[in-house]
Amino acid sequence: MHLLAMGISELGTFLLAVAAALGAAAAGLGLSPFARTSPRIVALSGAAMTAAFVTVASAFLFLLIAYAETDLSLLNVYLNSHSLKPLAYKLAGSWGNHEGSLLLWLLMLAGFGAAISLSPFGDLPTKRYAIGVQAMLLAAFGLFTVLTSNPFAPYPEAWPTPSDGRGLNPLLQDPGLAIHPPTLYLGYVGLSAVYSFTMAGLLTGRIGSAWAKAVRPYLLFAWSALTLGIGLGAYWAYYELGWGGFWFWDPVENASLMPWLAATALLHCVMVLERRDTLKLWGAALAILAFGASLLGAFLVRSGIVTSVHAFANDPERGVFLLLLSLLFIGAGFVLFALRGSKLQQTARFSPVSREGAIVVNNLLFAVVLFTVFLGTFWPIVMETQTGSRISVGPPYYNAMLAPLALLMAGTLLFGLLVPWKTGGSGQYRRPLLVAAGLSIAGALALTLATGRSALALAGFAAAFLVLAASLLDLLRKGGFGTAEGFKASRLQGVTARSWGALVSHLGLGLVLLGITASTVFQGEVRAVLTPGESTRLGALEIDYISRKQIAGPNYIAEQDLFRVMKNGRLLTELTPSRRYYPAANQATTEVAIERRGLSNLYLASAAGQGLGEARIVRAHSHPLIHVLWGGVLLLAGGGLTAGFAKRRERQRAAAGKLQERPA
Amino acid sequence: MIAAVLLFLAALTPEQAARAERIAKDIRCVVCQNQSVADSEAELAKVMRRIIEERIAAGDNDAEVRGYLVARYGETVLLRPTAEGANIVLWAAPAMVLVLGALWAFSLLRGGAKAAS
Repeated sequence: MHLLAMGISELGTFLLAVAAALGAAAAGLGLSPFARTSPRIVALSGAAMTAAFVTVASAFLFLLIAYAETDLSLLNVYLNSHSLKPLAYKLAGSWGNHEGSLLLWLLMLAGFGAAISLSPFGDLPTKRYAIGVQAMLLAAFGLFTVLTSNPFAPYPEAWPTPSDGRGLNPLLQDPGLAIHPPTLYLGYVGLSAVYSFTMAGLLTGRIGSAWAKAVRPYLLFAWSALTLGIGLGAYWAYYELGWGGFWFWDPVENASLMPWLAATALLHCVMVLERRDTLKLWGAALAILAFGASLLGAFLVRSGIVTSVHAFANDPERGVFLLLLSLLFIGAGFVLFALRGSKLQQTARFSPVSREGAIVVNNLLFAVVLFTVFLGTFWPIVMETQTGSRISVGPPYYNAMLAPLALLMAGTLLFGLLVPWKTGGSGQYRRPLLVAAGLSIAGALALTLATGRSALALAGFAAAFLVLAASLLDLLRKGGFGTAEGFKASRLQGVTARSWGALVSHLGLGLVLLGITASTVFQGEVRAVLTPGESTRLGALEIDYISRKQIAGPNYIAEQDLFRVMKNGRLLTELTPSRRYYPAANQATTEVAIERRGLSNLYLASAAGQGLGEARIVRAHSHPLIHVLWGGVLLLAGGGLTAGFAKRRERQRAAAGKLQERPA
Repeated sequence: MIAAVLLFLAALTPEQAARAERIAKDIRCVVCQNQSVADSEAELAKVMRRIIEERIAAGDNDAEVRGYLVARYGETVLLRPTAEGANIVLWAAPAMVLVLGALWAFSLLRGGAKAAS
């Protein structure tokens, strides 16, 4: 071995091969039917997994260094980087391409594998199989990476010596997009741990309370990362694409939403499973579905089967192979499910009028939403291949289909938070339920009528108010509201981190619904063709086009417009939207100018057009309460993390508390 | 061309202009991604907006305007797919899944209720 004499290309390739081999070894130890389950076997396969993680992490570090130095001896760096790029984007560029993103994928797979190995969750056989399945994922994707998508492939000797790299898609040169894909990936891959535990549970026949406890932290972590990743994607679309929207129900957006929907249903299902030892089959199916949807979400993007602005690292041939590999793992999951599912005993013991009952309904509705999004995403493909006619399924379809479901779900949430676990009890929940539901719907109706808006606005506001009312009532009741003693803030100290997490996430959901509805229903919009010196109006605002100038950035040139925004003759702000041109990539981008005013935005974009001469097309939008949406996303994710990382001691205390409550 | 756009804009009553805007919001800009023709500044989107305005000025109702665009650019321009032919699946299947799922949930909850009592 001439380890020291190796160049970065050989060293990186070597590390990747070692990682795949370690993965295969851990999988063999974990899943071999010939070795008996013993602490030694589990420790050994866990050690192989942890070593694989360290190996992939070193490889990843080497790739980062190669990008930081713009090391053109690597083909990947040559194709995707440029010495003039800011350092942060050089580093982000390392995972902004097919090969590099696969390495990141491997890093996370191995990372979650190491976490499973090192954490105390799961009984011995479950843990053994979980490590085995996770290692198999690592080995399969590792082998694929080394054989077809090696980020350490050398720059071909036969090619002329390069003077510099070939840059990066300038659309990707943006802080939002530098962190958006890895965050989503963290969610996708986090669900691999849930999948591995589920496969293990099916193999051992033990899917129950212990399984639920083992899966929960991974699930909540993955869910939070997915939430944040989707939110970042929407935020990026909002300020980078320049048309004022944040979600278009585009296939790639949907592909990231589907695992989120499955994971959201699953994390509620797991709560029932943990307490009542039921919904096992459903939980296992959802877990496989959630990871399956993640694989689809991650690789559909690059398969060329769908097109989207979010699609990156496009490479149809290898993308399709990745999809097939994914289908293999999903298929294996469902085969195992079919073979072993019947072994799972379940005993449902709860009244329909209970929190469990509400969660069953919630799961049903989530499944219908998931199905609708799936259908809407793939129906155009079915139609095109079967009949040859090309159709679109766009926002109007999803709005019409999902608004009533959202309303039902919000109602179920309010009901579910108010009724106790297991049994409806004496019906104390009824009055607050009716009052809160009545007020929410009446408020939404009044707001819609007063502003003369559509049924869609009514559904959106009603859903938002219901969820917000549910969160508020939940908080009040945690403080003792409705009991003989009444609300006392001091009682909130006894609330577990887990309950806080749920509360914060539900509050976040209510804010997300409110932000989406308000910012779309009440948005103001004006479009005008202006030359410098002219002006237009948006509501009470006067927008004056003052001047235009050329500016030079580090690796682009830009044309920047200056606008003054006036209100009642007073200068409110100056905005400078621009259009950038990146010569290295021969690409142009629009940079919108956004002025935050309280919780709302003034959004200004200007565009050039054929035959316009000195004039520019100016679009201004006002988006009321849009920051409520972004804040809501943060609360959603924050709540998930809070609940996922609740201390174990706290969980035990919660369990003890439950026991004391129960006799009533 | 801009003059022509402005001319037609001027010819529409505010009501008609609002109708044109509403229709444009549900028409896909076929050369852009993720944008309706109301949101896009692509040349084709401008042409399509102008067609919508022309058809409205000529007295077409909303369905006729959409039909005109479909005849010209194909069904892919409709962001709200029709419910005709096989597309009925798209509109009806979620409701069917909801009904089937509700039956499943009902049987599960009833089983739970029995076990609890």
